[in-house]
Amino acid sequence: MNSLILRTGATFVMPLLLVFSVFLLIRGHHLPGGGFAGGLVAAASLTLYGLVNGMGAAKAVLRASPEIWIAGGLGLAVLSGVPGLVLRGSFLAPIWGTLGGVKVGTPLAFDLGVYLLVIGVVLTMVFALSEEGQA
Amino acid sequence: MTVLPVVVPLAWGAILLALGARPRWQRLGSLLAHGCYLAAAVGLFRRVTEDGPQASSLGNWPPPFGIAFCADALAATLVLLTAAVAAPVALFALALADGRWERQGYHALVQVMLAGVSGAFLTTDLFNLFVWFEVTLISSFVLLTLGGGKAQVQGGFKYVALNLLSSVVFLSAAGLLYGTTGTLNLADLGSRPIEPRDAWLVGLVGVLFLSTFSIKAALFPVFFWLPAAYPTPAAPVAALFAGVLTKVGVYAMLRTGSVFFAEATGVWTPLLLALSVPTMLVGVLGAVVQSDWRRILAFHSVSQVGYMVAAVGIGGKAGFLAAVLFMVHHGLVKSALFVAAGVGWRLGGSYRLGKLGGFARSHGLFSALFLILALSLAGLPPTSGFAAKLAAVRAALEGGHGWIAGAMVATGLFTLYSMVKIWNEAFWKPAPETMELRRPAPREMALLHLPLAAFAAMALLVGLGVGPALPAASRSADLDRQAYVRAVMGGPEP
Amino acid sequence: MTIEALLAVTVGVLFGAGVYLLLRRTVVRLLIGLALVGNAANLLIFVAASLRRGVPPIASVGETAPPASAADPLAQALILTAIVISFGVLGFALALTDKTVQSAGSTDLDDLVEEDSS
Repeated sequence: MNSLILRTGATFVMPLLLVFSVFLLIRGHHLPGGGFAGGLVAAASLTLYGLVNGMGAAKAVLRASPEIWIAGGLGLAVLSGVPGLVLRGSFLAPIWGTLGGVKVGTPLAFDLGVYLLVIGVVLTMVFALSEEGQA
Repeated sequence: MTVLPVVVPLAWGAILLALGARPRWQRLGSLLAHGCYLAAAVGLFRRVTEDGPQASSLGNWPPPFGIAFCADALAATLVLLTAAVAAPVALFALALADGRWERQGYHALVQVMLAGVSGAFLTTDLFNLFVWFEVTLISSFVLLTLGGGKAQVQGGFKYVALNLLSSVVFLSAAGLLYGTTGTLNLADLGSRPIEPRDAWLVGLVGVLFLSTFSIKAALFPVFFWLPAAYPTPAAPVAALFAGVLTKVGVYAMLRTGSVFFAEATGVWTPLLLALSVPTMLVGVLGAVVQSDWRRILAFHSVSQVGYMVAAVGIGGKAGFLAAVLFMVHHGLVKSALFVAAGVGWRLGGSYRLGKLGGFARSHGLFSALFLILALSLAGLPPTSGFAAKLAAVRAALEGGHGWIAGAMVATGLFTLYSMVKIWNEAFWKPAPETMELRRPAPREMALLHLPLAAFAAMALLVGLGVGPALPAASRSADLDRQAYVRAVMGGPEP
Repeated sequence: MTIEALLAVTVGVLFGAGVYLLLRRTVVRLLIGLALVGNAANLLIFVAASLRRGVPPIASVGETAPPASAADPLAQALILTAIVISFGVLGFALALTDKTVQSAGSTDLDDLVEEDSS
């Protein structure tokens, strides 16, 4: 994985992919996209980064281990259901509000949780398989 | 309320995962998590026994849309059973955990598995049942291969492959059923008539569902994964699996059968009855030739599934009562016996009966507790096994299935033989010279005995007063299709 | 109708090929077979829930429900969920296969240890 084209290309593509993944995440409530698709794209961009610069570098970008990302995503997704349970008597019932003129709500938090979870899960797999490959 | 047994373990799973490689914190968190789960299960159970079935839907989507949960007495009983099995096993895990498990996420995975099992018990939708099965499966895959030894990895591989295949069958069946009827909500399915021209297709789909549930429950002739998988994993994992996993499959047969399939397909009940007898006999005869403590127990799990499925097939109030009672009994006792095998391994260093011996002299309390549990599995009074087997045999005789009753009695005799074999080998015969008796610290000894004592107490309780289980079971047995449909769909009281 | 027939045949071919691979003794073929039958099942749901072309289940402005002839969104939601699950499960199975092959030193299923050797 040491081709000049890949290395140069990855430098440009990776930030674009990350931005695109956030775009997919936010767009997903009414249109195609969402936390899962966004998370996959983000994980793909980090995998690309890891292929070029070594998986150690990708781990450094993540800062925390993928397990922490999974935990954070799962925790956020579960938490996003609690307001609905408390206010509407039904777990995951959507609660909407406006924040600085933008409509935000618990479904967005849920999607963000899925996003983080997917990044964590995919990278766990990628890291595990790449280690096996080197052994 | 209904979602708590699913949501609470999921949240704890996230917390425990975030705690990472901090064994002490993880152990503390695991205890708290099991406490919360037990509280949620008890709360749900009391609510259901007082106020009748509880239904709720995520995001308040009206049925049959949306992801709905419904807890009637049957579901609540099984959630409570799961909690009652998981808590002592968690204590047992604390005795053996060595830090390696914590790094591999043992405690978090157990919570995710509990969430999956509770979801499977509480869901009202066949597709969501598939999803909860998968949640359970994925966490069980990882738990099974925990430690990554040769036996774990290769035993786990067979389990993974077979269960993936059963998932595909499940998915195909769900797709065909949806294409035929336009709904996968159980209550919705149960409340609408089937068009005569679809009857053969529904029958076919019913058989597909039955085969996938049979794989989960380890029914003859698709039980092979169970004796391959249960004897390999870490001791607490085996105990948890033995108590909980097959029950999910049997529960799925009981629930979907009573609400929909038994009536919609003519073949469902005869198939259950026909397969239950070979399941009992093959399981128990397979155990006779084994000389490994856990392999004997694993084969007996197969034979006990035969009893439960026979009771499900017999049906009617007596059949239901027997099936539920048997699930409660077997969940508690089989889990406990796997814990006992783990204790024997911890003390004697092996699961092979030939390498063990002398526990009756060296560990009196352990021996006494094992004796209670083993006799319960064999079905001697005054234990839970006696109550459960009596109910099953009685239901079979009342239903006019004399040959099934005969098979049950014969299986019981062979079970007694196997339990006596374990007793003679591991407890009664003098310790072989090669056996080095290990002496764990007093605190660990307490943690090894406490779960066994709790299980034995529960088994005696269920056996003596038929404990808290029987009233609940009889209510479950009253479960008729209309009540379930009403609870889920929100129809008027009759 | 022809599309449905074509897809139905495809489902059959996928199942057939998948089952054929499942019956091989090689670990890797088993895995590919599982992936194939998984895809076949997804396609089966897609076909079973009836095919409608060009009518997405989207309510136009001012309407409360999509047109009655719209494609069924639920089947597609089911497939999406199933794909996500099979993605995760196959990822795990792949890692496990790798470990299995390493620990057994062979890709032949018959070379896996019997659990007796505990």
